[in-house]
Amino acid sequence: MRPDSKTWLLVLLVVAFLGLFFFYPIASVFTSALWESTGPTLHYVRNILAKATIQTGLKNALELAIITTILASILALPLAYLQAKTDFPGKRWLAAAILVPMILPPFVGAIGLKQVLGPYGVLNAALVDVGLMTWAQAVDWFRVFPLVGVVVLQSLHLYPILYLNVVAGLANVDPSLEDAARSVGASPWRVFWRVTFPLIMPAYFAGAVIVFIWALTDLGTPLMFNFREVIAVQIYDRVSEPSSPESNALVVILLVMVVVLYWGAKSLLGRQAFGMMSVATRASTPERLSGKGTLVAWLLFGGVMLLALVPHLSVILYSLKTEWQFTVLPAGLTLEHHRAALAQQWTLPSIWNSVLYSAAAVGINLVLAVWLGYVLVRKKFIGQGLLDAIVMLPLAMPGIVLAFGYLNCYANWGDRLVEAGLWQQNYLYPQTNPVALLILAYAVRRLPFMVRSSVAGFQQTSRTLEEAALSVGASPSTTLRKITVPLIAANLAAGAILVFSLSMLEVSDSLILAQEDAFNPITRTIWRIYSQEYSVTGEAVASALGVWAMVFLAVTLIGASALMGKRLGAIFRA
Amino acid sequence: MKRLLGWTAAIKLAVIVLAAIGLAAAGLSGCGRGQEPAAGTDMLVIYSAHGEEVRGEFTLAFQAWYKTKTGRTVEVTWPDPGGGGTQILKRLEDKFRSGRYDIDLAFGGGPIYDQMKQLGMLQPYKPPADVLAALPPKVAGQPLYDPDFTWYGTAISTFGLIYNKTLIRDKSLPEVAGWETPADPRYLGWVGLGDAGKSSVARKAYEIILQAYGYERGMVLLTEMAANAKEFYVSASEVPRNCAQGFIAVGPCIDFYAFRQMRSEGGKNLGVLFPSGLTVITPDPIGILKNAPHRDVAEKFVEFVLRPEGQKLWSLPAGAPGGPRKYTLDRMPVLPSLYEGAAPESSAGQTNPFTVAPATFYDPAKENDRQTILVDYLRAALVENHEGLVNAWKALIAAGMPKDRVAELTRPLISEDEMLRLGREVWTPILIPEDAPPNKKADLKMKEEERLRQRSDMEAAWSDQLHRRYEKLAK
Repeated sequence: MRPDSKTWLLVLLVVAFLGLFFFYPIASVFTSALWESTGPTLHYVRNILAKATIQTGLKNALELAIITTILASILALPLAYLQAKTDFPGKRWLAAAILVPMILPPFVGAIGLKQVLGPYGVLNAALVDVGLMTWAQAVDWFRVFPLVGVVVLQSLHLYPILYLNVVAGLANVDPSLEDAARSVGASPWRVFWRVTFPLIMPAYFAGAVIVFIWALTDLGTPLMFNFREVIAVQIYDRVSEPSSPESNALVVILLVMVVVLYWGAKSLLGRQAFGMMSVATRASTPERLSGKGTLVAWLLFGGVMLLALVPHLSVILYSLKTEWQFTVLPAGLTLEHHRAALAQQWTLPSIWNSVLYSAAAVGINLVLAVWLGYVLVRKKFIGQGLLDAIVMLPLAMPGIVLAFGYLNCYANWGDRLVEAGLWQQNYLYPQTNPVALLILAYAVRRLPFMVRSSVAGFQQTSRTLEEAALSVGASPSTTLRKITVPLIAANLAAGAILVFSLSMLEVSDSLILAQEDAFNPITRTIWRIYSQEYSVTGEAVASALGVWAMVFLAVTLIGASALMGKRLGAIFRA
Repeated sequence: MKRLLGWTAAIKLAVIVLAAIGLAAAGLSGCGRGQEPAAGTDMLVIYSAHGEEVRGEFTLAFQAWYKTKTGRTVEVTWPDPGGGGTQILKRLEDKFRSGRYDIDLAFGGGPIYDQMKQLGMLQPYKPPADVLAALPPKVAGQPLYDPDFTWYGTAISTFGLIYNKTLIRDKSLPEVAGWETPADPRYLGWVGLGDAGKSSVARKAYEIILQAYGYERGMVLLTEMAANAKEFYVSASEVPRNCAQGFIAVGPCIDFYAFRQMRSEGGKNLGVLFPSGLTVITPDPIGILKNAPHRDVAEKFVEFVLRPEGQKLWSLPAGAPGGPRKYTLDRMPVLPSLYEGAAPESSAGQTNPFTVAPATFYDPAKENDRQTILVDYLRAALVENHEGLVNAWKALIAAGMPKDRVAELTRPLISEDEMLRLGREVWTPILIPEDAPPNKKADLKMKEEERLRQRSDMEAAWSDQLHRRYEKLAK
C-alpha cells in the first residue's frame, strides 16, 4: 500500500532527523578515513589494521564482550526463570531489587573495585586478618587477572538487560506447548531444553546483542582501569585529532565490526523468531516453590544482589573514608569529600546541565516516538519494515562513533551560520558550545528505547476506542490528545524515564563532546575531578559525586519499574 | 471514516518537532557560559595544562592586580584542552589549521613552546624593562625565556623517580639509585610509566634520559624500563598515585607531583630521588598566541605572572600575605629574589635552582627537533608493542640475559641523526596560512597530506618491524 501524504510528511521528518544527526556524521567519518584530495583510498585503514596494537585492541574488545555476555547470562538466566515460572514469598521485592545494579555507572564502580582488589585493598586486608596472608605477600588482583575489573563491572551492570528480556520472553511462551511436552512424559529438565529454551532464544539473543555491543564499545570502564588496549579507548586516545585520517579509519573499523555483528545476529535470529514465536493464549500458572526451593531462590537472588552491590558499597565507603589502606573498612569516616564535591565550582552546574540535556533529549524523543509509534502501528505502507529497522539502528551505534562523527562534520556549517550573521557563536563546535550536539547525541542514541515503548503502547491500545471518539464527533487532534496519548502514557513515561536516566549517566558522548567545563554533564565532571592533576583526593571526591548520581538514578528507575512492570523488558530489545 | 490524524494536526506536530529541535540547537545553548560579558569587562582566554587550583589562584590574583592597574574588570576563561602540553599543542595545531583563533595564551604544559614558536603560533612580546631585568636569562644552563621573546618560563621544575619504600622492602627489590634502577630486570612488572604521547611530563623525562646517557644508551634504558613497566598512564600524575596505592614500585615523576603525593594518604610509603648530575631543571612557560583575540589583556597577564605578585603564588603557602588564598601550589618561582630567606618548608626553600651547576649535557635544540617523532617512535616501540616487548624481555631474563640478544632487543631502529632529520623534515606539520592564494593552499595541502602519509607509513613499518623482532626474541 502506498503511504498517504500525511504519513509521508511524518516519515520524511523522521528520516530527515536521522539523516542529519545520524547518517551524515557517520558518512563524514567514512569520507575522512577513506578520501584524500586525489580520490578514495584504503591506505589508512590498511595501515592501522596492520598495527599489532590495534589487532590486540580488537581482540581484547571481543574477548571482553564475549566474557561479559557469558557472565551476564550466567547471572541472568536462572533468575529470569525463577521470576517467570515460579512463585515464592518475597519474589516481588527480590525481582525489583535485582535491577538495582543498573544505577551505578560502571566507570564510577571502578574506583570502588580498585579499592577492593588493589594491593593495599579490602580483599587482601581480609585475608591478612584471617591469617591467610601477610602484607609482604599482598596480591594485586588486577595483576593476576588483568581483565577482572572491566569484566566484573560490565557484567554486573548489564545482566539486568538480559534478565528483563528473558523474563519478557518467558511470559510470552505459550504454556500449552510445555504442558503438551509434559503430558507425553518429558521430564521438566527436558521440557526446558527442548521446548522453553528454543522459544525464548529470540528474546535472549535480542538482549545478548545489546549486552555484547555495549561491552564491546564501552569507553568509561576500561578507561578507569587504565586498560588501554581496547578499541574504544584507542579511539578516545585520538579524539584530539578529529581530522586525522588514521583516527577516522579506526572509527570506521569499529563501526563495520558492530554493523556486521548486529546484522548477522539479527538476520540469523530474526528468521527463527518468526518460525517459533507463538503468543501465549493464557498465562502460565507459576509453580509454587517448596520451602527448600524458596531457600534456593532466595540464595540465588541474594547472592547475585550481594555480588552486584560490592562496587556500590565500596564506592559509598570510598566517598566517606578518611584513610583506607591496609584495612577492610576505612580507618575513619568523613563528609569532607562530599563537601568538596559540592564546593567544586562545576559540580552543581554540571548536574543542572545533565538534567537539562537529558530532559531535552527526552522531549525530542517523545515527539518523534509518538509519531513513529502511530505511523508504524496504525498505518500500513511499503517500506514500513525498513523504517522500523532504521529507527532501531542507533541501538547498535557506539556512542564513541557518533560523537566522533559529530566532532567532525558540523563545525564548518556553524561557521557559515556565524558568518551569515544568523548566530552569535558557533553552536555546532564543541569547543565553543557543545549543548546542541550533546542533546542531539543523547536523543539519537536513545531513540530506539523510546520508539519501542511507544510502539508497544500503540499495539496494546485498541483502535476501536479512537474510532469511537471519532464517531461521536471528536476532532482527530482531540482524539489523539484525549484518547490515544493518555492510553499510552504509561508506556511513554517508562520510556522517558529510561531515556532520561541513561542520558544522565551517558559516558562516551559526554567525554568526547563536552570540551568545556562550564558545559560538562555530570559524568564528565566526575571524570575531570578524578583525573585532575593536582588533587590527590580526586578519587574520593569523584566517588562522592558518583554516589549522588547513584541515588538520583535509583529514584528514576524505581519510578520506571513501578510504571512499567514487566513491560520494561520490551524496550531493551535489539 | 474520519482519519485519526488530520492535516492540521500533522502540521501542528511537525511544528512541535521542529521547535523542539530548534530549541535544542540554539535556545538552550545560552546556558552555561554562553553569555556575553558585561560592558567594561575585558576578556582573556587561556589554554592551560595547569589544574583547577593554579587556575583559580591566578584568576583571582590577576583580577585584583588588573583592577588596580587599569581600573577595569577582567573575566578569565580556561577552556579545557583535554590534557597537558601534548594535547595543547595538538589542539592548537588543529585550530590554526582551520583558522580558528579563539585562544589568547598558552600557559604551562612544559616543553612545547619552542615548537610552537617554530610553527609560527607565538606572538613576541616584551614586558616592561624592570620585569625583564629581574629575570635571569638562564637557569642551570637552560634558557629561562626565549631570546626572541615569544615565551617566558613562569615556574621551574625538575624530574626524578618516585618510589614506594614499603613495596620495595616487601618484594625485596633493589634500592632506587638512579635512572638505571627501573631498567633493572628485577623490577619486571613494578615500573609505572607515563605515555609520552599523552603526557609532556613523561616525554620530558625520557628526553632527559636520552641526553643524560647519550642516545644509544638512553634508548636501551628506555626500552628496558618499558619492558619492566606494568602499564603506561595517560596522565603523569597517575605515576605517583599508583605508586602510593602499591600498584607499582617506581616511576619517573615531576618534582611537585611527587611532593604533593608524599603529603597525602599513602605518602609515608613514598620516597623521591633526583639523580644528581643526570637531570635538568626546566622552565614551564607561558606564551601569547598569534591572532589572539584579546592581545592587550594577554600581555598584561604575562607581565603579572612574571612580577613578584604572580610569582609568590607559586612559592608561598596558602593564606600567607601575597600568597595563594586556598591552595599551596608547591612550585619553584623564576625570580631569584624569592629564594632568599624562603621558609625551608616552602618550594623555594628546598633547593635554589639558580645555584645548581648547569646541566651541560642538555641540548634543547635536539629536544625540539625530535619532539613529535620521538613520541611516535616510542609509541610504536614501547607502548603499542608493549605485550610483545614484555614477552621478549621475560624470555631473555629466563635465558640469563645473553648480551647479544639483549642488545638486539634494545637497539633503536633509527639512528639519532636520522631521527633528528626526519623530525625536522617530515614530522613538522605544515600550517596553511589563511590568506594564502587558493592554488598555494592546494599545494600545501597536498604536501601536508604527503607528510601525513609518510608518517603513517613509517610508523606502521616501525611497529611491524619491532613486532616481529620481539616475537623472534620471545622464542
